[in-house]
Amino acid sequence: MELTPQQSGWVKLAGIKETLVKDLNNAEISIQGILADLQSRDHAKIEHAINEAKSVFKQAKGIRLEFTRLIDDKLINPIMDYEKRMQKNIDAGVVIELEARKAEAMRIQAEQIYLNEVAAFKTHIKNELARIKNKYIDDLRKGINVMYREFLLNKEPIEMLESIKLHAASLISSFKLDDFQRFPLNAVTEQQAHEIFMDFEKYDGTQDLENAIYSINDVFKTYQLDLQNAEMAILANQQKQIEIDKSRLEQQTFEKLSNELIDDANSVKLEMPKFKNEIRIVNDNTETWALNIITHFMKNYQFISKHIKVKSWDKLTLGQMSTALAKHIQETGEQIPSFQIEEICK
Amino acid sequence: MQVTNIDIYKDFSFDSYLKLPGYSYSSFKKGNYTPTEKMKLGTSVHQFMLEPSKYNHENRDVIYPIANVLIKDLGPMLPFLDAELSVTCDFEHDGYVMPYRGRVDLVRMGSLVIDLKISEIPLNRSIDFFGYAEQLTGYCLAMGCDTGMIIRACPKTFKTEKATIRKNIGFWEKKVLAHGIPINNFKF
Repeated sequence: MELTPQQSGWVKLAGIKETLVKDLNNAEISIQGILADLQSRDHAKIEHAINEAKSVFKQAKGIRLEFTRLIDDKLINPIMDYEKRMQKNIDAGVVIELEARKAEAMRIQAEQIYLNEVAAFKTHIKNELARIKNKYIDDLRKGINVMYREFLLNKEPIEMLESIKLHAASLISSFKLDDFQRFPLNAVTEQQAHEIFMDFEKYDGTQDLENAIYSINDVFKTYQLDLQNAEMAILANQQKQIEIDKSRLEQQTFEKLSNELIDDANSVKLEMPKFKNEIRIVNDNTETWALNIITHFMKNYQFISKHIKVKSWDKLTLGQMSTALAKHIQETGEQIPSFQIEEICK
Repeated sequence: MQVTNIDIYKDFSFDSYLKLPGYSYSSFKKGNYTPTEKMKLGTSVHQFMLEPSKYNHENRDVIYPIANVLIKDLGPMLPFLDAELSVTCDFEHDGYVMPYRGRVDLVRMGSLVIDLKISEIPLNRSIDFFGYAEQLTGYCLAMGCDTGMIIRACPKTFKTEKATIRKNIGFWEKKVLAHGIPINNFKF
């Protein structure tokens, strides 16, 4: 059967390897012979034997290197090239993935900003509607009581009571609702804001005005008696109004805070893609860089020793020192002016 | 569901609360109640925040930061809330009545119930798993509150998370039918 060029090459390689092993075996035996019984020789002969052994060793290493280089060039390197090309492709993919993740993060961030603004706007609407309602109710109540006080101060005769009540009702009926305070919109458009606003039940004050007009009778029902000692009645009424004001203010403050807390609890929190930022010390491959690494490694050793993992201390490299220093910088935020730092996002 | 005969107990110890009549949410939990280390941690945070005179100052390194993030979250709300309020009432449904009892971490009567949880488990998992919605629905019913809220503090990250619960009144209606007695007998 005729061999293919590749099969023939393998057969040839096996022959070369066999010859190499024989040569190396011979060289080893030769050195054993040259160095045998050294103790019995004088110094000059020992020195000569060692030189001779080194020469054989050099020659053996030469033919071994020739063979392994051949293996590297013809076999190992071409095979490893596949991995290198695959890794390069994956690395390129990782870069694309990172960019896509960043774009996704920006999109989600923008959406989160929008959702936060919608939530804040809704809270604002709730608070504003509550404020307008509360202010209107307070205005009505205070309006009635101010009039009650003035009529008492002026000692208006009891015969005027019905017309006084009508006057009070007419006056508070002219009260207007406070204006709705605008909310500064950024991410939400005017149209979206309008749609959100329309979802809320509006306050028009009609029912509270009716209640207030109805309450005029209650407020003025002791008018005749109060006229007997108007100053004291005014003081007592003032005190009552202060208490009502205090209680209403507390309730209104609570409602506002409660709205904010509940809206915060109900707000949508989107999950952002995760990023890992890694600090690296730029390697400019100079003597100064190497000395700086060694200097700062030693200076900060007590803090960075935890970042060093070596099987054998004589194998500790500048690269490992640099990596450990970078981890220390990342961990502590310490500034080391000697180094140029780059931040890698993963 | 109707709620009647509401009694509120302020400055009431936990031991005294346990002696009150009625079914609480815990009454329907399976298994024996043996406080774990994590539960004890939660109790300590509650005591530090809400009943400082009862806090024995153990584990301060952990308790302080957890309590502080909760206090920060509640912020200006705290003065408006009553802490560790106990309540008893009757839950009535479909001709049956069942006595209820509950003890709430923080409450604004008629408005808001807040339950504090010290846990590493996110609320989106723990609410269903531990039945927090049902537990807080009971509190809301008894205290006449519209909203039940949970604030969770993570003892590892010292971060908080908030959620309002979706009330599950059906849970309590079923309990009333299963454990209650006919209203006529009860009133008699």
